[in-house]
Amino acid sequence: MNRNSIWSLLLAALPFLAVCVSVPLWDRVYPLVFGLPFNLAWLIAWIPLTSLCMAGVYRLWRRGTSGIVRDGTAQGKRDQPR
Amino acid sequence: MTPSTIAMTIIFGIILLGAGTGVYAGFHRRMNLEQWAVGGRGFGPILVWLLMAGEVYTTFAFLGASGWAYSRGGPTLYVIAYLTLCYVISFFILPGIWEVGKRYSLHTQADFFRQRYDSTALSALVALTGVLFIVPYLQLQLTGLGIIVQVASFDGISRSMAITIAFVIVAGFVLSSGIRAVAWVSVLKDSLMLIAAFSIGIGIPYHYFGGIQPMFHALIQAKPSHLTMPGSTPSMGHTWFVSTVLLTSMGFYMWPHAFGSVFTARSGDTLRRNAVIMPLYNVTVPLLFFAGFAAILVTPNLNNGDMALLTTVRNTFSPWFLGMVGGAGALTAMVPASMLILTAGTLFSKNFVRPLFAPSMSDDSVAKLAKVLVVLTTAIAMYFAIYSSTTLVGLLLFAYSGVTQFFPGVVFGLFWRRATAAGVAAGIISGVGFSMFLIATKRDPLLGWNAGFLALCLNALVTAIVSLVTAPPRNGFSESLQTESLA
Repeated sequence: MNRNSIWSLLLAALPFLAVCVSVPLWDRVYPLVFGLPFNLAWLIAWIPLTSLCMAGVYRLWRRGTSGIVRDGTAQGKRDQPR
Repeated sequence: MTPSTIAMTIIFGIILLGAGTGVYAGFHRRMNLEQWAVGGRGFGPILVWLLMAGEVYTTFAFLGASGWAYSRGGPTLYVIAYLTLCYVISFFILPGIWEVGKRYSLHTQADFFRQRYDSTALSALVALTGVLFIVPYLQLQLTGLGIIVQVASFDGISRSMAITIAFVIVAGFVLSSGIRAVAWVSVLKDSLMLIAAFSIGIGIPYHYFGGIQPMFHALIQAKPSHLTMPGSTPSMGHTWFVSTVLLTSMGFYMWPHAFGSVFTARSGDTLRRNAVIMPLYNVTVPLLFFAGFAAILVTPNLNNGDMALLTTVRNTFSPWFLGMVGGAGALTAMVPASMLILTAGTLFSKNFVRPLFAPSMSDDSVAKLAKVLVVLTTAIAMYFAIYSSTTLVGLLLFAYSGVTQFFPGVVFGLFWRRATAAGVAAGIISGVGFSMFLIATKRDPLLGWNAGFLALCLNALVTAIVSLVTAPPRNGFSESLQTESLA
């Protein structure tokens, strides 16, 4: 595993930390956020944030593969990092 | 025209429009097994996105999630969490699965197991287990369709009659089309669903409370504990939440139909990009929660929470709008149901019947047998839908405790060279057996933990141990795969 892979795994673990295992910290009604209970608002906020994390993971993965195969797709070439 | 005639006319109009789109999409192509099951393996990002998005918006989200928000409260939040996290997992496993599928021309999930573990018996076990747990998921969709017909007819059509009608619609749709049709009907379904979710999720709170903020305010006053875990349940607290979210997010792509949809993609990169965008697709799920929460105060004391959303729509809006919502809901049941049935048919005929009983069968005969099985599977699900009273979410959770048992076999298969067929088979059998035992003896949740999750841990352990004591696999592909798919 190279450094990029470690960073991308950490980045991918962030949403799990935020919306799953940390539930006792945010499962509450107050403070209301835009009138929504806090737990609901927290989960809604993490929908775009998760997407953002995955965009980061994707960029890291792209960087890891650059120089090997840029778009080896349609012919079934490998578009995987080594 | 009576209100029920108006609503029912619009619903059937939408269903016909959907069916027409589907039949048209599949019209010009010869339907061999490759076309019918994986769309010729040529779907670009947009079609794959539609196909995968089609799996998110099922009756489960539409009626089930709002129904649980109504009857259970806080624990329902697991739906938002798992539908967000499943895509994170998908980024790391789907491209590897796709790679194997592409190289060996695979159609089904069981094909993947056969190829990776070099075992027809394991593949047959996976096919059989997959079909077994497709039945409750299919039952969910038929029950949902039944609820729609029942509410929209103002209870003029009985529940069992409604489910029978649903059965005829779904089976007819699948037989006349194929996977390509399913993808295109998703366009219609998702647009309607989007309109419906926004108008219901925002419209109902505004109509009765003057906004979402006052609605929650009133709800907090009336039922302060409903909105946090365990809500209105005795045992679904934080431990349950964590274990359930982990179970279901790992299980999301273990559904045979979701797994199969991976093979329709044109490249692994399509799947990675999807993993970035797909979480955003969940933004409408909270709107359905709003509707479920509003219904608590607006239409209290319903026996069946799954009817909360539609009953509230019926009491709030005019019949034509009820028809619109019902039609959108009908498509959200039909599209996933079709995918489920298609997959069950292909799995059972290709990976169970042919290898075990009729090795010389041609692909065309497999496709024909698959169609016969389509009707049979749907009929079984219909039987259960008529005679069972489990909530929609309850059904899906039950099914997840089964299908997620494929997860260790898939992940070990991609990342651990030493995993063997015997290990995976032992893992699946012990995992499914243990979770079914816990559920059947009413031990779910066990000490706060989701039974399916506990079974999954046992499964992973058994898989690892048995793999280590059996002879390592010797086929070449697992080694070449290893070096490539490790990100």
